[in-house]
Amino acid sequence: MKKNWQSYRPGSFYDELINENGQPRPVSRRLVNQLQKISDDDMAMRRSAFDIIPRPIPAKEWQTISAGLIQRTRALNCFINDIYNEQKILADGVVPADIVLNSPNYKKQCRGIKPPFGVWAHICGTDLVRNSDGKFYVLEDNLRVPSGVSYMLENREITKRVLPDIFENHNILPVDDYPSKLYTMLASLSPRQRKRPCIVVLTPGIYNSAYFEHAFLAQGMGAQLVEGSDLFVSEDDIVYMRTVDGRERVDVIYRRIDDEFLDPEEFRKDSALGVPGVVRAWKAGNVAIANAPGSGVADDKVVYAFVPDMIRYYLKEEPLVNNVKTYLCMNKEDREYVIANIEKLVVKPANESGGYGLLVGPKATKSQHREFIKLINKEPRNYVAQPTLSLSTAPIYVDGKVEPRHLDLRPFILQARKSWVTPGGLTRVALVKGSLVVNSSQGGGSKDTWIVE
Amino acid sequence: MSMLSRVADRLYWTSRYLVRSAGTARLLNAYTQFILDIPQGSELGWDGLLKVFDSEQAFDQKYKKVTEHNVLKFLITDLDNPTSLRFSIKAARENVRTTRDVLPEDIWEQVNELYLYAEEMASQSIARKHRFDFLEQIVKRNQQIHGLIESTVSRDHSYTFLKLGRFIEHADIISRVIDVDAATIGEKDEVAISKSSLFWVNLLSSLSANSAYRIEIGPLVDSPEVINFLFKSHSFPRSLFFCMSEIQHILKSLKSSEAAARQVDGMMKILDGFDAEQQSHKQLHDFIDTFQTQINLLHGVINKSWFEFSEQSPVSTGKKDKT
Repeated sequence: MKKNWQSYRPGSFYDELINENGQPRPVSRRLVNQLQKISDDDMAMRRSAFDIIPRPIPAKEWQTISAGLIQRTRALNCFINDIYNEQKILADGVVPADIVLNSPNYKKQCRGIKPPFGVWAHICGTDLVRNSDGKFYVLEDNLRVPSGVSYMLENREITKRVLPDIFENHNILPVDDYPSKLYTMLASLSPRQRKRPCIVVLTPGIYNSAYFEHAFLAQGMGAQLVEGSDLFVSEDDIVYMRTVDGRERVDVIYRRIDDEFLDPEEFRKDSALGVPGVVRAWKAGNVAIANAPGSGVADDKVVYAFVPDMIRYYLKEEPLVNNVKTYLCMNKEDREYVIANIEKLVVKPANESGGYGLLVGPKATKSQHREFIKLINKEPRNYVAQPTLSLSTAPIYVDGKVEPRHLDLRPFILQARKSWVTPGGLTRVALVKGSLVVNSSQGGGSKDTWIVE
Repeated sequence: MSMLSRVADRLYWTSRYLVRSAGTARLLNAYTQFILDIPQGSELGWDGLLKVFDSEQAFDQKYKKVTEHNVLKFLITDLDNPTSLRFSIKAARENVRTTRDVLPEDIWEQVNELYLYAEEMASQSIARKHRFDFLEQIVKRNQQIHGLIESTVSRDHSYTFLKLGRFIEHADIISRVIDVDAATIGEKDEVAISKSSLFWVNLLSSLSANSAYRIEIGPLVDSPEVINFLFKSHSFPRSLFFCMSEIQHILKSLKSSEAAARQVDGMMKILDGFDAEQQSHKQLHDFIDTFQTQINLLHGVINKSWFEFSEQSPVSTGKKDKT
């Protein structure tokens, strides 16, 4: 970055930041100083989270994907409900028992619970990619606290404002009813039959990177945005919030806090973010929690490999959307293949999210390969590998030019009695040339996604 | 939908800090004007301002000498001083930032702009040359925010707690500024009286109260009458009486307000029995001390009734109450 600033010469114009001697003006000294500390790559990633060029998908193609996502989420919920109750799928040997029961995401505290409609993961963010064969593949299912839906809504707002003429000439499915769909779904979970159940969005607070989204959704649903300290659980297992009118009973909690921090009585004792006793109230059937504690058991890259089998097992249907071929390092045969072909594969830890801790074989060095082989041999259960997909690209605007960048797609699936999929979803785009990592926590950007009729 | 206690607490403090920043700006301006007006060589120091803010000790711990520069630096930019302008504005912004979801969007933007302005300009506004402009801007921007609150905040609990904070802080400021007279000017000899009247003219104008005073009382600015006016006027919206009766009115719209209402009734009685004409300088000062203690007590009651939540509190149905 430093180099760039030294060669920056605005010429004879008045530059707002840099004076005629190439030095920052007093008003921008601090700004320029801090900018200089950011590396070129980092800068490119941060540059702009939103790219103006929309990403269109034909409505006809979307119909199949949408049906496939609903099918997949239904099967996943059957699986979670089964695991915490009868465990038929384990008994029948379709999914190996030890990989499920030894997973850190399997919460034994949830055994025997039967939530409404048998649904555990009410909000699911499924990551899709399109390979060079033109087909969509599911990369992973996010069943814990998937985020990004507010960007989907905001991106549409921006596009309508800056490209109104182009927008008008297309027949694009609207996305803006998401908050009301979410509200209706959450309300249907209420243990009390009321016209307007008390719904809260539970946030870890202002310093969480998704706080904006939590506030946005609470506002969109007319729900209370609460922190853990705003709630308490009474002796008789009822959740209340502390209001100026006294305590008010809570019916549904849309939580944006991970299981581990949700309830210090049940999970991490040192959590200051959670609500002591909230799991107790949930078990007693006095409050609904979305997504239900323990849902993450199906959000595991080893379990992922078995989702097509789950669809066949629970629904007696063939999967409508493909899985990516996945090698499980816990199986001797797979592990040997992965180690022999590591330079061609993407290796992922089973339980990380946000694109952390993975190895992209073709882009990694020999020593990184060796390091991952060591990790795999040490903890085979903890690693899976997939062929490196040729992620599709779309143009983005950069430096006055149009250049291709890799992208994926995260639609959001809501499920209670019925299921619903966002028309489109959040298209995430890698802003760094050639990069395959689109995660917003690692500087990915996003685009408006159009389902065009 | 009922309001969360935490949110109500933050809204209340948002208002208090905003009003405090504007009040401090007005007071610093009036005091500077006053110092300019009095003859050179008069024994009147900048320590008077420190007395008003009860912060002589905190000041002495950090600064060696009581100079105009040090006192103004302490009261305008020093973030270690919880009564400084910059501190108040920063605290107001922090509170709005965490209650954005219950406030109209413009309010966050304006408060944030006030904050950015204060951050950028505060340190270069200690010197007299820029001080007036700066203080005036702080007041004007506060008025803008107040206008937005009045014209855009729904008349529900958000408005109630913003308003409650506003009038409590107003009451606190009015009693403080009146104490400047007692704290700085000393016993009433000839010279002191002429100084005093100069001070009141500046103070009234800083409160935009000149014309209200002239209409209600008359053209002569005299200390007992100004004090009576600022304490007891029924029509001037910044008088202590007016603030207290607004609070009385607001409390009627809240549940569990009995304790707070009793406290306010008591304060109204104290105010009713007060007459500046009958008071010695010392008595006036003591009276203000008593009243400030009462304001703190009221704050304590409010805190206990609505912000510090006890789990035995009554069950709310969640239906909106009439306000």
